Amino acid sequence: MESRSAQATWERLATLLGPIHRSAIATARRLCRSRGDGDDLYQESVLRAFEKLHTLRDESRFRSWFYATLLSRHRSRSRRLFWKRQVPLEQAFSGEREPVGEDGGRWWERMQGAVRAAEALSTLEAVQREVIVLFEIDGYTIEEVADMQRASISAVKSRLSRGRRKLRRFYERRGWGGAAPADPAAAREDAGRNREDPARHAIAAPRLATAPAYESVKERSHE
Amino acid sequence: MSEQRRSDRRGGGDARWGPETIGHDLEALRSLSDQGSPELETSLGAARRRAPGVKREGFAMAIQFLRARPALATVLGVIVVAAGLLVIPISYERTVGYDVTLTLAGGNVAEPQVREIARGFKETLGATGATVMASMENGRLTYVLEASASRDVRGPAQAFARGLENLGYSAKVTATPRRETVSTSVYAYAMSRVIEISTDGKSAAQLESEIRQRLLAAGVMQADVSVTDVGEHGREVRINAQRTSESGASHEEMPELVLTRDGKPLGGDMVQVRKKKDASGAVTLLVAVTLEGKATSVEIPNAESLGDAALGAEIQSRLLAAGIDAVVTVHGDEITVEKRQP
Repeated sequence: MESRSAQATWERLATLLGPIHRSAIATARRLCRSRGDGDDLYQESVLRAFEKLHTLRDESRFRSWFYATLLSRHRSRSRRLFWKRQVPLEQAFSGEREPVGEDGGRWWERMQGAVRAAEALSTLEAVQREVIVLFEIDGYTIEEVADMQRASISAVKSRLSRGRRKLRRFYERRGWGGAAPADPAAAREDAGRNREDPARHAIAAPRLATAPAYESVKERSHE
Repeated sequence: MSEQRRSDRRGGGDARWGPETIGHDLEALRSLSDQGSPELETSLGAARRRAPGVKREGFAMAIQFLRARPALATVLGVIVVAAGLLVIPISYERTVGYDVTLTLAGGNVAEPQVREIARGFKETLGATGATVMASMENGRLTYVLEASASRDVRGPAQAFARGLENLGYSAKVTATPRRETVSTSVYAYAMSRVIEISTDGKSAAQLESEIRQRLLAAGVMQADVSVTDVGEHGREVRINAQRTSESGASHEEMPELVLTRDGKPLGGDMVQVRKKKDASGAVTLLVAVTLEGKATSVEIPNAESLGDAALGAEIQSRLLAAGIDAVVTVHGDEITVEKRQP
């Protein structure tokens, strides 16, 4: 039976979490290799936030405070090697159902891309993975990420640079980054075949448009 | 940060720091992880069920607790291992003395002479008593004298027998090591291999006596110890100890002697020479030298095949290679290592 103060704390936490719930749980999923593991990380973070809510002085800073908690739990789990013994990558998004009406080939391609990204992210150190997810996917600024990571801006920039480099090398080693197929319809057909044949569920080389693979542009001057 | 900026950058499609594939894949990950998020109430409910108050089994909780604290788990692991070293017993054998038998045969040995020989035998061995048994063998009276000593008395016993032979007796001596099995903890065993002696306030004679006693207690029966004061503040400690492993007996390492002052190991120059002789007679010489703060050890196999001069030159060149410029002289069993004078 919960005490009255505990109930009040849960209610306060619910109010504060409301505006950031969806983005935070999505971040947790991106940090983990599977949706289920991400949800677990989020629940763990919520529980931790409940326990530490009395330390929050400025509610306007709840977002960064909660993200700092989330990242702390993420690192703790990474140390415990949870990350490495989670669901096999091939099953990470296996519960995903093809949306009604969506093009099958595109959907499958997207699924494979997500699996590839999750695998590549899993090779990074926890702090680098966090920066890539928060900056590259979630779209937070360097300053915001620094606030969430409780780190200096230069440290975040360094982590971002190293994380990117590692991701790039990982993709290079795997040969992911090839040219687009001449016939996009053929790609869809091929993707469809992959979907039907479980033996081909291994991560396939992407079939995306060729881009200037290693543009020397220093994006946002962080490299 | 504005939502506009965030949405502008979302999708990773502009990840120009790598192949465009990365950008597409990150976008795909973003898109898929956004889908099917549970409602806030669902997540909060799940978290509330995990809150303390929902009792878990003690062992599972302990495992969970330690998993979350790898550093603490490591420390606990080290403590368990250390406790194991203190508690887990190991057995080893050590020589605690020698049983010596002197057989006197032939000649007409009168009983008073036997009594006199037995007294001398006992004193030579430093034994507390000696037994004498008389028996007839091939029509001749034979006396068997037995005594036990707590130190290595093989040398003195042999000398005593040779003395009797010189007097016309037929004397034969045999010495059998008396061994005992000691059961102790790994830690205690390790500590028994290190003899630590404090030099604080002790004269050279006192120190010499203590070193001798401690070596004896550690099973080193044959040790010549000499401690002499050199100059006003110097002190030279010489220890010549021998340990022979009987065939079939477990090998006993020579304990390490550590002299301390104010609880700290003494510095200074140190030369430690060890000879190991195997069953084939091959001698491996181990010379450990600490000179002017530099320390090294030299191992020379088949040292018996080298003459004194060659052995000295070999040790000297090896020390020089290790950065220790010293003069090494070898005279038979004695090896002297001295700092080269400028």
